[in-house]
Amino acid sequence: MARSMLTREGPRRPIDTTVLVHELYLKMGGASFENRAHLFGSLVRMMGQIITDAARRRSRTQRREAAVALSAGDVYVDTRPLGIAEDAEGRAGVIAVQALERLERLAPRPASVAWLRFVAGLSVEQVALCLDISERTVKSDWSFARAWLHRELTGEGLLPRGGAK
Amino acid sequence: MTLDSSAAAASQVERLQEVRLLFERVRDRPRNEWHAVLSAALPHDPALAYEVLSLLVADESVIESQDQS
Repeated sequence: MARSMLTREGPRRPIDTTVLVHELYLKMGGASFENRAHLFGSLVRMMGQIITDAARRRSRTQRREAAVALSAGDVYVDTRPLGIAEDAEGRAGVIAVQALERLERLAPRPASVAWLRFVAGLSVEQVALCLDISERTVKSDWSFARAWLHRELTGEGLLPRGGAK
Repeated sequence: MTLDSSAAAASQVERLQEVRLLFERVRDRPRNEWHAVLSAALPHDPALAYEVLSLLVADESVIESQDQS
């Protein structure tokens, strides 16, 4: 799943999968999970947080010479599935993940689907398997979450429209 | 979280559930029917109708952007 998130093409090179998995292991600590859906939902959210934090660190350390473990890796979150244009700074991805965290408080399952579809880059079939729901439910949740995120990000002028799947 | 803020949060969740139900009901209908269907379903809640409509427009925008790829 980590490799899927990091090997998609984008304006920046992906970070090392091993580093992301290592950070994820540290973040998980002694966490326990109720079921498979809870496990995979939690894993993707944690990965999203690691990637977002790394992107923020990168923007702060851009002019510094010292390397920070994840910031040198040029983290990338593809916002094109949300109909949001890419930007070279990677700002769109960070803002989109923040919006996703807001959606999570309002509609947890569609948010989980969105995490897995747009941040992890999983297929409908893979998401259904992870969350133990039907593919039809995944498609329905994804359509709703995608529209909500697009509206949140473009309706307030935060990000420009545009993009391709 | 205070009682008021937790009640407000629950209210927001419920409202979004309503929005979603209507979004799915209207989404596959032709664009020129959206307004009429929502007005009929929500004669006394134009704000909710507007919220659903804004999601439908966003959905259409996402689909168009992907069709252009």
